[in-house]
Amino acid sequence: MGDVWTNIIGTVLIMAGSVGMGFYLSAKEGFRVRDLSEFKKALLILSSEIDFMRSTLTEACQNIAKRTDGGVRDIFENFSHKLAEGEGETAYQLWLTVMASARVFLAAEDRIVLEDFGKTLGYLDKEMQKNAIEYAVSYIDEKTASLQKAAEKNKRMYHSLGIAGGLLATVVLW
Amino acid sequence: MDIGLLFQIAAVGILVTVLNQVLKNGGRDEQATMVTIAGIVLVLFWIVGHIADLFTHLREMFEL
Repeated sequence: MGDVWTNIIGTVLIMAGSVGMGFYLSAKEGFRVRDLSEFKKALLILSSEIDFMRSTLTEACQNIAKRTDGGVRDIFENFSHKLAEGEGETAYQLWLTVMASARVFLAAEDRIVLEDFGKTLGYLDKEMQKNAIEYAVSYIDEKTASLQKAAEKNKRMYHSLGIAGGLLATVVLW
Repeated sequence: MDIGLLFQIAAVGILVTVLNQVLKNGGRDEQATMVTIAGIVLVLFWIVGHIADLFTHLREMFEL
């Protein structure tokens, strides 16, 4: 009798874990789209700051941090603090440090593009910076469109995989 | 042989088929193949002892 109860409790735990994992993985793509959109907003604000406010990079990042949410806000907040404190040698190094410790749901390919964007921060003229922003924004637009297209299909797939995977593990371990 | 083993094998077959279809529809053909192979290996692992028993019995029965 005790064995049956142990099996049942184990089944419930495995199913809860695997179904939860399925839902988490499907939600993760949504979080990625949200973070990319937030980054796009930040880059557009930075572009406007360059055009109209003519503020320093530190001030611009502080303003961006006030107008964005979540992990992206933390990135720009930390970056402006580090710039103000003068830690590190170049803005790019600081940007890499901040990006490495950022708690955002970005994939490796997104990180490569956004870390590359840091190379032009505070370097050369206004046009150079605006071109880099445009490039990053166009990448985000393309990626967001393709992710949204695949989102519904992937969502159902992850849910089904979570349930079927949990059942399979239960049957194997029963 | 425990009849439960037959039901377990049937359940694994059904679930591996479901996983295979879900993964194929999601465009992940490679993972679908891996799941199918994993299912076959798992079931073979379960029944290999019983197949060995079967051959031993056959040998004894026909005094080979």
